[in-house]
Amino acid sequence: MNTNRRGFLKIAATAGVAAVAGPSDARAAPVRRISDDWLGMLTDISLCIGCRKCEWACRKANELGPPDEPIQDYEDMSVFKHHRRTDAKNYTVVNRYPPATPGGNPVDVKKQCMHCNEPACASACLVAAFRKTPEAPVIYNESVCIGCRYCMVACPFTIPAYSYDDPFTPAIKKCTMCFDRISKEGGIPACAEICPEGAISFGKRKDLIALARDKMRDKPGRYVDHIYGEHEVGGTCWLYISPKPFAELGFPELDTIPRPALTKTFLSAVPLVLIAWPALLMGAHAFTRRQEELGKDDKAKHSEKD
Amino acid sequence: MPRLFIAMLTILLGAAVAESARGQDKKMPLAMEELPCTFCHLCENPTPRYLCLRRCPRTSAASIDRKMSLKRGPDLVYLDELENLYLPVPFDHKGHAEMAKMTEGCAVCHHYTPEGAAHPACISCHEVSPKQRDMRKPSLKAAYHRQCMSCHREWSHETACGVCHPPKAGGAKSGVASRRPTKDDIVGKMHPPIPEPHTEIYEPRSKPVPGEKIIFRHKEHIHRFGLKCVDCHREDSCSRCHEKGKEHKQQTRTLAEHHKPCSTCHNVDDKNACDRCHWKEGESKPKPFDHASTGWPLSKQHVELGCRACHKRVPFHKLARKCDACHGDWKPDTFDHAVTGQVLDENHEEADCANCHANRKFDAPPKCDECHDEDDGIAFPAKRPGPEVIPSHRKNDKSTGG
Ligand code: SF4
Ligand code: SF4
Ligand code: SF4
Repeated sequence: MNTNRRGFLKIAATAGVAAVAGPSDARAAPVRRISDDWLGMLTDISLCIGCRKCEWACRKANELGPPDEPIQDYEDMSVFKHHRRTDAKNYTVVNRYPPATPGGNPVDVKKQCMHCNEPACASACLVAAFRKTPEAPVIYNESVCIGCRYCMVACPFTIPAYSYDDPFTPAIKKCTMCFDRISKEGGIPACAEICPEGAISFGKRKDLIALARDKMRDKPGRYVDHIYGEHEVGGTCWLYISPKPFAELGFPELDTIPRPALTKTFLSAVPLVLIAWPALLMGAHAFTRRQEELGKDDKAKHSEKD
Repeated sequence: MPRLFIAMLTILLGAAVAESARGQDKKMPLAMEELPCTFCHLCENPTPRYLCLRRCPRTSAASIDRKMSLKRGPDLVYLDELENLYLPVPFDHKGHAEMAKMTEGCAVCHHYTPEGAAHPACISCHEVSPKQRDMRKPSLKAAYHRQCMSCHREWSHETACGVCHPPKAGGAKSGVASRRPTKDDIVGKMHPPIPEPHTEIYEPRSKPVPGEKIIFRHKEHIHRFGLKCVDCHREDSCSRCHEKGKEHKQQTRTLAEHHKPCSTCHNVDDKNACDRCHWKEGESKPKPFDHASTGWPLSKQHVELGCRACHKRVPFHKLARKCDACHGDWKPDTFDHAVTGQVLDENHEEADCANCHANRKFDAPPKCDECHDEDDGIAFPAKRPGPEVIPSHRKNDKSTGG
């Protein structure tokens, strides 16, 4: 099964590159192979205590709130009564879910952009406001945003948020994996730095996957056997391990198909048509269909295994 | 076995396995067959060249409890290496060591102590910087929090940062000063609420005298006097309640030690005052505290109040017998006069209190002669400075006569 899946991924990745590398499509971020040097984050949900300090640190680091916002304000746990979404002022939010076992601790989940290996937001964007950096974080250039909100529709994790502050200068906002901070020597994302439990690890994606596997092996029974983000939508650079099935924690159940392959056909189709490349379009479409079938196949096998 | 430490890192249990595997002879190498390979090796097929050994030295945690005695440990440890957003944490080492005794011992926290050495400080292995060279080893901050929260969250399922972390001045709404916190700032705050005992009458345990009884009114001390459990039970060992079923030896204590929890407020050396708590069966029980015995019977408005409403400090001290001692802040624009049953009309509502209440003696009948001529027939209560209403504290009271 594993070999099958890896084989499939390899094919998919190579094919994906082949499919879009042909035309030097300047609007969408280039899709590249998963790199061993890609950075990433791993959230160990079993360690998170729901202290919301990551929310505070994120707002401070990204100057989303008042400059001297008291950290004690984030000790207010009444926010957990409602399920919250990320928005233009909160790139990350923590939500609380019922315990994994009766009488246990509630399960708290920090949510933010997943930094997809092949970001749908980037390929959906008409003006290339989003960019997958060579280091892995998916960042954006809000000044070119035209406010079409294709990215909001395209993102499988409903992450990008629209800033409504000013209708004439639209801006899309989301977690950047603290790109500015980590670009500096020794810098680490603000949320990972403040997390009192060390629930958020920052490092190379490849090492984080190894770390996640070690954690699972070291503490049998503590985690469900799934690294969320390892394969979902072609893999993401923010990974999660959890004591409770992901479906019960608000994580969408997704296949392993990179979203750009799907969104390209309907969101970016118009300019392609303008450049009059119908043959390629047909090819890409057929390829997507094929991938879809492969994806279903893969998923079916996966659930058989479960 | 309390569930407190169930959440402890499984690797610790591993250490226990390692310990039992060593058996009596401490020189014996680890009994390999008792340990899964993955206990030491990270990969499934280690080779002599690539052993992929774990770096965690927890297996050396053995024998720690035999070396370390509770008495040699410190009472209080300040955790201040990371002071930044909060003040240092005053960590009650003694209390925690006692708790640990009930489970896996000191090694619950001091999981690595090399043979013949004292406990290394956490900081000697756990890096301060959150940017870890070794992602498998928690940073100092994470190590502290995982250790604490594995138990503290187990009890309450809460994440109450303020329990251990006194806020820095300016940061907190509570206005806590930026001083070095003491044990008193946290001890007792964390303990889940304990229902107050209904027992009032106790038998003396240390030197039983036939027929002698002691009265201690828990409810009165908690609700009226405003004491917290820890105010008296400060020196109690945790195991007194938590190790159920174990016979607790009555400690031999001096009379002074015995009376210590009471002596903060009561003069226990006064031989004439013994009968406030001690009495013989058949005689009449000591009565609960009556404020009238101080020469100041409490009026209706005051009788319901807890002592702390006026006596701010423990032990309670005599206050000046002036209304102003407590009500100095009453001013025409802050005090709603209607609570007394007398609404002030617009001619009177801005008058100074002392205009009617001479010398701010609020318990004496009000006088009108400061402004009005008595010859005009203006005197309280025949003439009132506004309409009369039911005073707020008597609203639920049928007999308004008292
Ligand atoms: S999670 Fe959404 S916003 Fe983030 S990279 Fe993926 S598609 Fe883009
Ligand atoms: S990585 Fe940075 S931007 Fe993203 S959630 Fe963490 S603190 Fe916020
Ligand atoms: S700071 Fe860490 S422990 Fe606190 S809510 Fe965020 S992820 Fe969870």
